Amino acid sequence: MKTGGRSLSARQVTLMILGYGIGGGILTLPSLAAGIFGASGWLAVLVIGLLYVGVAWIAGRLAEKFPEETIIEYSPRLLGKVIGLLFNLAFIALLYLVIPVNIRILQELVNISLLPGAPTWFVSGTYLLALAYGASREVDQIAQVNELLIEIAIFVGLFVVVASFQHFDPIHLLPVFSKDQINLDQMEQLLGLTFAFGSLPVVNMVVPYIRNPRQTTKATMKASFFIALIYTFFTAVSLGVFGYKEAIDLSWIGLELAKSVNSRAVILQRLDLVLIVSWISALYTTGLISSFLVGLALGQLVRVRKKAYIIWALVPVTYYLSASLKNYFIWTRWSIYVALLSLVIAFFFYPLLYFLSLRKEKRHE
Amino acid sequence: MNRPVKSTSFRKKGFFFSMLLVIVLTASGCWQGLELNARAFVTAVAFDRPATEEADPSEFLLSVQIPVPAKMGGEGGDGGGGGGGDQPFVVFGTTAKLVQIGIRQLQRQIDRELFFGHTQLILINVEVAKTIGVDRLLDYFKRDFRVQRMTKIAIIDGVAREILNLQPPISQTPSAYIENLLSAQSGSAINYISDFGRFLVEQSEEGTEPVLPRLSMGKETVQTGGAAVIHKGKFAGWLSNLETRGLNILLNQNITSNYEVACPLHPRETIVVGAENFRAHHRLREIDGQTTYLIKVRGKFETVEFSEKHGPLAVLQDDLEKVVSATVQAELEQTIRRAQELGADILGVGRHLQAFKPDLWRRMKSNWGREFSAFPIKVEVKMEWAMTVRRLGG
Repeated sequence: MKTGGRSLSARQVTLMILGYGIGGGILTLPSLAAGIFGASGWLAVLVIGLLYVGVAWIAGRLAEKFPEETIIEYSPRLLGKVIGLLFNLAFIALLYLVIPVNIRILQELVNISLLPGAPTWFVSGTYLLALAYGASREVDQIAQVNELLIEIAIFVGLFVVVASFQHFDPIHLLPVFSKDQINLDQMEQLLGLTFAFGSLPVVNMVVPYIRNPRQTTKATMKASFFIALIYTFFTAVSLGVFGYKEAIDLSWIGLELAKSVNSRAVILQRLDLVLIVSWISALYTTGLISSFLVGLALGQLVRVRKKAYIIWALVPVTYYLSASLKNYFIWTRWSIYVALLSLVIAFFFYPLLYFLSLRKEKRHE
Repeated sequence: MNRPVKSTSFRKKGFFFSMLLVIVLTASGCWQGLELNARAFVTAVAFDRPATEEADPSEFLLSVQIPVPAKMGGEGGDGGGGGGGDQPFVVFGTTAKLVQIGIRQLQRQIDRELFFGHTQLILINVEVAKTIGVDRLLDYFKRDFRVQRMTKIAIIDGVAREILNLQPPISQTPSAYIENLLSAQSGSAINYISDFGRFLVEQSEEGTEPVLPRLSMGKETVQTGGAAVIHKGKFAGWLSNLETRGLNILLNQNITSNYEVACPLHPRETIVVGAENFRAHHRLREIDGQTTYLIKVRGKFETVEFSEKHGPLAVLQDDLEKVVSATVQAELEQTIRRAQELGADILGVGRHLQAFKPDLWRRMKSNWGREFSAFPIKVEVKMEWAMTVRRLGG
């Protein structure tokens, strides 16, 4: 089962969860949060983030209980064959559906700023090939690539956010949870808000590769807490710079934040292109880890030893799906479905599986 | 017969070189690459009323300034960088009802693709800002990813296109000259500093109205000073030079400015003071059972010039501080009066109500323009003499 051996350190696992979670979602997160919670959107992001930290504890503990197996292997034993199979299919679908959205976001970012006329077949096609090639490698290589890329992306992202403080006005973050600004009826947006948080499946798939499985829960919680912190900080600064009304209207608020930075004293007067180039790394880590996990999970489900065959076989399907997400509205709707799936798995199946594992443990005693 | 087996290293090399080829072919240029000389970089845009009297009121004259690279960079020559027919830029114009249609029409006259990614200035004639509206004109620009948020916008008291044709007195590109005039580097306290990004934020917010800098044509050159108040997306009225300075102080725009005050000890003497480090704190307070917007302004000043043979004296301190405080306060009160006359909340009073008194805001917001005009606003100014004195005597 394990071709890479126990090669991952706890830090690498934390970074893999970050690499999977931090991608395209963050670029639109403040707009969604502002649309539902107005000026208090950043507080809502913090609350959701902390809820996910709670789930991260469950996911980590669950993974620690089965240190030799992935969730695909032990879920049928806990849930029964049929429900276990259905759960596995949903779990793999969650991992897989992220990829077309990820590719679509990259396509849009590239078209917006780097290569305006570049067609889908070229941008998405080459990106998909790079994803498939990367995902065919061993887990330790993927962890190393992720380690490098996600750190660069987070560093540049934080630099942009800090630099944009020149336009920050704290009054934009008030009033707190005003009933005039809260639109809980926008259920779809509310679900979409959670899209950026669904990175927990990583830990339940990579636990057999962790050098010291007892550090899994700590690494998972650390990653989830860091994600919550980054998202909250980014959302608070975005809303503080633009105000919630303007934030709602902006499609790529992260890029606008970079555009708002005016540093005449520095060589790089404009930061938007710097952000885009580095954020492609963040997108790549999401796609890379996702593709790897899909290959691994499907391989275990259909008992194919070489996950690379599965990854490359999925390339045309993934390309077709990403190309069918024709515009912003379609891929945001798609991300809502992914978020819904993620919510069900995180808040229903993880606690259920954990509960069942505890019960099974007691029976054995 | 044995099939030749490709070694792993050969396959790896093949893959590596294929990737390298893809990167070299793509990263070194652009997709559908456009040479620089195939692009017309629009450095400034102007909106005016059409020249003909019988023109449709919803139409405007759209002008764009495009630099001519071959004529740029010449430091010598007439007035630096050319003049008359030798100008380092060209201005094209067309009449349209929508910006995109105007651009399309302009494109028919120009053999290069118009590119707005480097546009530094958007100038709008006051009549156009009043009838068509700033918000409406900027709609195209706020949807184009390439347009920068730091692009300067100004309302022109006169013909905006004339400014595009202006040759700067100091050698540089015309749009860079105007852009510098509208930036903080101009060092003018009577100039309101704003840009496209700030305008969009102020425009979108409830309980605050945007202000844009004013430009007017002098005899030979352009002049800054004053500001245009925008209410509901359209021009509502001017702020005078001193009202603009007052607004800059009230909005913490970090200005430095001079005031002439009468000497408290020698009534016929004038002292010029340089005031700086202004800090305005905005609060909502209950005064006599009424919600009042209270602005406390603190600042420092230095005596920079005396009209007679006296210098700074310790005995002057208290009275001089009072006189300077009163002078600044009078100016700020005039600014507030003007804003209330116009019914445009350029101070962000409504924004504060929304943040700190949401219930009151809920009752007032539907009719905020009128409510703002009658809303009690108080200013308290306290200026301190910094006394960083070089010379005490006359």
